[in-house]
Amino acid sequence: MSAITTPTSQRRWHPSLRVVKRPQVAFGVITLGVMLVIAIAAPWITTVGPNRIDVLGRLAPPSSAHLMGTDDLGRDIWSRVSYGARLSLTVGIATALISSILGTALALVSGYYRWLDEVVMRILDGLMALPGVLLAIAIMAAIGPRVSNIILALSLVYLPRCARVARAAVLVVREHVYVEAANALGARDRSIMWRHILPGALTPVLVQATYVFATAVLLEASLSFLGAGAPPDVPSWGAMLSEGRLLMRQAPWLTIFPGAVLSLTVLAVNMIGDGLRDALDPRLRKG
Amino acid sequence: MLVYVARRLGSMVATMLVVGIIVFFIVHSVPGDITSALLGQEASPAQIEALRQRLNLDQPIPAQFFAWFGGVVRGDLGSSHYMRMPVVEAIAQRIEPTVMLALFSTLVAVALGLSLGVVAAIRHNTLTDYVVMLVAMLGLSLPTFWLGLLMILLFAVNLQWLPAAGYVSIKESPLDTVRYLIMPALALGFSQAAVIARMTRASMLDSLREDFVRTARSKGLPEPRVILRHALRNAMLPVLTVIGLSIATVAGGVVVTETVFNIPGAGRLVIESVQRRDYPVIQGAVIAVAFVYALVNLLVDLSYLGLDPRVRYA
Repeated sequence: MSAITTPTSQRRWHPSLRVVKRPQVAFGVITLGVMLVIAIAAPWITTVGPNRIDVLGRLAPPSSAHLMGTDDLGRDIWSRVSYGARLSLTVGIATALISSILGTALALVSGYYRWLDEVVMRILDGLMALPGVLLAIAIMAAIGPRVSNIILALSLVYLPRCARVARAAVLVVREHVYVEAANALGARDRSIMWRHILPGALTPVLVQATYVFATAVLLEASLSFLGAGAPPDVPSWGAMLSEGRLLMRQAPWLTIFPGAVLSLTVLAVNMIGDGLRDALDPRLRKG
Repeated sequence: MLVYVARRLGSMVATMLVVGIIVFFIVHSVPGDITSALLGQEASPAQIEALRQRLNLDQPIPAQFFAWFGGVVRGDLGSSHYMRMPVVEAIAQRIEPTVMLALFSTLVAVALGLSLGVVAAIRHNTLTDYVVMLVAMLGLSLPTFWLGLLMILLFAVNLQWLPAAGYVSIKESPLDTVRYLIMPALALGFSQAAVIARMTRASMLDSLREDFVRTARSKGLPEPRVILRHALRNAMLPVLTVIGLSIATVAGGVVVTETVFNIPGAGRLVIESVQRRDYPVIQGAVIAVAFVYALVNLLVDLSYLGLDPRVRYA
């Protein structure tokens, strides 16, 4: 489905290696790598703390002293963007991990025991009928603005989506002859699920996890933009955009830089996701 | 066919019941006593007791749920603590801008998404295809609120073509309604257009390889007719599903977009209610949106009956 298809000469490569050779994936990996470095090295690559107020240096435009300028409290935007990367990436990675692991476990159990399937699917349908933003806002309004609560809320939003993808894969793998053989040889249910079905169902889950990563970063920014996300002392790209919105005429850099970094991060992860999908889907590989 | 309709209706009822349970438990997960969250720390024991009775909090949890859900089924979503009016009325007062924005952005998304997707599929593996797919990728990656802010900066602040923010009711001046909604609808519709374009392209590529398309061509039908009447019509099933599912994203996006463009709609009401800890309004709005979503998707599934005879006779 992607615009770029794999040349046939690369087919012998292992999928995980081959995928990095695609230009879009290479772009994604490098960009995301840079973001990770910025997030980890934030204390060393910034000169002032993200919450350091400097009333005399309010709304300074980008300069050598302040790479991305300062906001209305004189806080350094570059520093806030760097520390903001920590929040975005932590929330994105944690949400992707939690929702795909729990979603896969749920799909394995419900896809294997058919009597459980109907109940689990109805619950997931109910969760999916709630728009992600609204569900997350409602949860955050109830349990309060903390980073761990954001991860909890977003994991709940994406759990049904991951479970659905994993379930579809489990249903296909379950019908394979080797699963039937394991059953006939007297393997226990748990062993069949973990050793025989899980490995075959992992590919689509992996692709879905990258998309969850990207949309979770976007959703966290949306929540913080609306004031229902990160607590005020944690720098967040979304919250920065919300603050910059009111000063857009005088200080457009407050809007441009955090938004550009946010977009670039999401774009990078989406590119990796598309590349993985194309490389791991045998149907698309032929095309 | 009747069995199909009945099965879909049944699953919609089940979904709404689950939605009810989820929303009920989210509000009941508020740490501590909800009455102190609503009344503040200085409330007297008598006030707290009165509120507990009014909210049925003195009853067991299942009884509370059924009392509340029974009301929801009858169209009673409770009443707002802050505004002191029924939630249904509070939402109704603010619904016009929200519905207009949702309709306009869906229109933008469908028109843009379908045409881009079809063009990319016809020009498969050409520069046009790559450019369209790149635009779609940007649509998926740019946050709606940032796109909205950039549009305000360009079209309202610098070029002064369009109003930066606000809303004019369609009853006052329909022309102004459109002027005020152009930017919000584009900002919100763009990401949906991207999803629809990707699905249309993929589905069209499948459909263009089918035998009936080759037959239509060999009959000597003109190419536009082959594309639109034969290939696109068949490619529409998965695309319709995506459009139906995108209602949820639009409903969520409305909350963000209304904030960016200062539109006094129901989405803003939700955010204001979060700040006021007015839980019945949040609860009511979420239930209402889920109902609309379930209804639209029911209609999408029923529209398959018209589009694909195989579903009709299954």
